Amino acid sequence: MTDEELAARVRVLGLEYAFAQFPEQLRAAAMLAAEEKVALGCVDDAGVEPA
Amino acid sequence: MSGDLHWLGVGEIGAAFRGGGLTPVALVEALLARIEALDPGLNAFIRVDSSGARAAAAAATLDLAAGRDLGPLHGVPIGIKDVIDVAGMPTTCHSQLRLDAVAERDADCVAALRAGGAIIMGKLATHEFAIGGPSFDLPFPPARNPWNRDHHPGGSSSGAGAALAAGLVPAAIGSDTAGSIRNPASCCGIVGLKPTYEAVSRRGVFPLAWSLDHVGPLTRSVGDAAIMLAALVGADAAPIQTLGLRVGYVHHWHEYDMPADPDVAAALNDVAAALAAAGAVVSYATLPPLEAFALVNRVILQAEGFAIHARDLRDRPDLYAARTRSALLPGAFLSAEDYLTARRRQRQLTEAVDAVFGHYDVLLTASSMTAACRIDDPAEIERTYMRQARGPFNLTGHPALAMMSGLSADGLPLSVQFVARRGAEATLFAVARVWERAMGGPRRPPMP
Repeated sequence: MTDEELAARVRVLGLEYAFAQFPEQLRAAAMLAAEEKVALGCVDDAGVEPA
Repeated sequence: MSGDLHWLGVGEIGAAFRGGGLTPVALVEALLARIEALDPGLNAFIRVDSSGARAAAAAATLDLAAGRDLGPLHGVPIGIKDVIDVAGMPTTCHSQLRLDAVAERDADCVAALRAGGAIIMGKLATHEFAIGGPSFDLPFPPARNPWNRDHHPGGSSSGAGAALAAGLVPAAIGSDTAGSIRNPASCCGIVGLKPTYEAVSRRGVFPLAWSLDHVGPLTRSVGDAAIMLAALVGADAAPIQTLGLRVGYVHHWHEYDMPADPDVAAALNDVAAALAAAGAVVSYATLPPLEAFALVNRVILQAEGFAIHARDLRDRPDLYAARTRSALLPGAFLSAEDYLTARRRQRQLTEAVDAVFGHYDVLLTASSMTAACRIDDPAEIERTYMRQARGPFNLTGHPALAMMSGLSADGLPLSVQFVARRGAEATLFAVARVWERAMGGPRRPPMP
């Protein structure tokens, strides 16, 4: 996930203030969730959610 | 009666009250003095309600003397994890966010204990909002392990584990979403029971994840856990015969799925051998891989936990401990699809465990794969907190009891977990009593 993609996602979630304060924690959280999605089988390896 | 009042269990206290040698006033005074002497080094309590406990003890002493007997908890001092409401006291959840959140009424579990005459001694330390681990960036210090104060006591019912092991209270109430009653029981060498899902009301308990949260007792003996559960649910567990009981030993979890430390594995083998010697039929049982449970537990917990904390994480994230933020924030990035997939997997895993219970009456598993590490080693805490086999039964809702299995070479408690069918806590108590007797009874840390 690029910085721009993460920032866009954070805006959608309304977590801009937390992102400004704790950017590394938000990035780690996003990465962990992405790993969990893959492990659950919710997304393919490219990170695209199936229809 | 004098001397080691602080080591009396719930059942022993009841007998001493009714034998005339002990009064609730004398016991409460002894425990308050011990708390004052020892708790500054243990941090088990966030708040001690000395005046409330003394008033309740005086009333209980008069009642018992007059023959007004409310039952086995009458006059028994109990500690309450500080995510559980006690009327008139703040439910801080060990957090800066809730220092002034005074509860207007008792949680159902506290009300049930009070109805049975229990005396509330105060509020016990927890990991912030019952998640994460020991943190030093909170308004209260983390509880420490009475077996070695340089080590953590487990959590998140950390104060309960420390208070029980140190003889500050004979019983406590905790909450358990991924093992938070059973982890401190494992680390502190006491008994922790996560009852069947929804057997004990969660009303008045600050939630971590609604689908996984359980409320239950921590005690120093198996018999005391049975007394506490009876008071919480309003029914006694009928005695169970252990001869011929079928015990499924879930050996692959700690042998292959998540290899336990050698002393942990050896102690589990000792437990299995002791049960077999007592007449149980012990054989290996196979469950789905431990990691399958851990992943589903994590996704549900993170998704529900974030839903509960979303507003505060958006508006004032700086008021959380760093460890708490790290544990909750991944939930923001999970979708409804992720959550619903995890809930479907939860059902599948539950069905798999139910099917295994077609062949066994009780399962024997590891609880923690290691003994408690140093409290000042965040990397080791991060690594070892996840090395456990408790979360599966938050997912499935089966009752599970953790207790000591032995001691490590460093003199720290090791642990075992017993699991039964839903509603079959009596089976857990029966099997756990066999092991407790084989151990020579509950063990205490090296302290007076």
